[in-house]
Amino acid sequence: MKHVSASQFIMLLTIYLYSENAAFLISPIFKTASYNTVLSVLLGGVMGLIIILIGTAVARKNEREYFAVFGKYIVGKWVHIPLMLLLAGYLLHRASMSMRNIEDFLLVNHLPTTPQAVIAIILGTAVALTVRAGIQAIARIAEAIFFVNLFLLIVLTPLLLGIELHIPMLRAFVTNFELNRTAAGMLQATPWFGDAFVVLFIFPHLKHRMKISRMVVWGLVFSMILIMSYLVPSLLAFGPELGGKMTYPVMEYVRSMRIADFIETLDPFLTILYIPAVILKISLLIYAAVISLARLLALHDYKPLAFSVSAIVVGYSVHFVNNTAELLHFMTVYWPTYAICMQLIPAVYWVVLKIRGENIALPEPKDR
Amino acid sequence: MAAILLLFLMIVLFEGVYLKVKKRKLRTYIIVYGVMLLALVYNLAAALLPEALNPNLIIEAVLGK
Repeated sequence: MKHVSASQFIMLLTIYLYSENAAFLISPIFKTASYNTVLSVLLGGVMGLIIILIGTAVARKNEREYFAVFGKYIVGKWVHIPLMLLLAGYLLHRASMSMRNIEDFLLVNHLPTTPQAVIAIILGTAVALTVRAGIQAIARIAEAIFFVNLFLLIVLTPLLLGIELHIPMLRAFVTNFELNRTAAGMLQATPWFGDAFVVLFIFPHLKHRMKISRMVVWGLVFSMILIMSYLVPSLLAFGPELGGKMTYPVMEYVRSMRIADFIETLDPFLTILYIPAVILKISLLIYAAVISLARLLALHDYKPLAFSVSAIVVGYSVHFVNNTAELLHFMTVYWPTYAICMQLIPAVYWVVLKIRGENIALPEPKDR
Repeated sequence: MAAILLLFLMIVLFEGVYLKVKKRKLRTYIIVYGVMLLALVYNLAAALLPEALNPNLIIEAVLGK
């Protein structure tokens, strides 16, 4: 079996967690949490970490077997199969939402006259090929994107700070504390990080499994730093009211930067960062869904399912909502609750494990 | 509609060749083509009835905010 090393896993987790959240989910949280956004994201990170650690605790029960296979020995076959279908459905729904976000982003900013279906099919083909290439290819892509992001973070941050920011607004992050807004913001930010429960599905591919919790914490810390590097300057530049009304506040912020006459704006650099990172996230989500589906159907080779499942995601992304405003509404109002409910499904397995004791008979792992 | 059918034809051919080269059992063919048929039916149904077959409607109805 191909393995992902500890450093690759941290980079994969960092890019997976930061990509879509920094790109597309900042506006809804500005609207919800206002000046409490930073605190909400920090608390959401802590809650997300708890969700991930519950998932890894379940995965540790059988380190060499997929969750889709050994889960039935914990809760029973007839409970496990519906729960797995719900989880696979969530992963595909999440992948469709991310894909719809990129489609809208490209349509609005770069390809206004291109039919949406064409963009979706091209993205879907890229994703399907990445999924077919396997987890190691996904981890290697994450390595490359991680270093590009790190480089641009170091280069762009001084430029970002050069723009007129309302620095006194920093005080409002502390003085304008509202419990309701913070709680609502935390509810919104928790699934950003809780999405990393996908680790549960790829656990047999990870090396150094004994240090998994430490690796998860590092991945979360790095992603938090990257998210904050976009979120805080955008908040200081526009404030929560105006920022919450924008679809892409970070994009608007970067667009307002002028560094030289020969470069009109810097937003293409942001697009270069966003698109591969979000494609990587979609690929990992679909990979987790496909590999679970393959194991449920007792298929040893998941690859022939990659194109079919990606086609479902492409179709779903096109019909996900009617327009960007509806997408923002769905992401703000419905998605966080739905996502948290789905991300807490592994907690059911964890509770059953605790009740039934540590000695539940798990199948002997087969050599592959 | 024609584009969806054309794309699925390409997927059928691609996966068919892959399964043949890997000399898979009949059971694998049935599962793979079954999932493919499911994907095709969903895509065609979503193209015909985009409003009625959106799974988001279920989420919105269950959460009911």
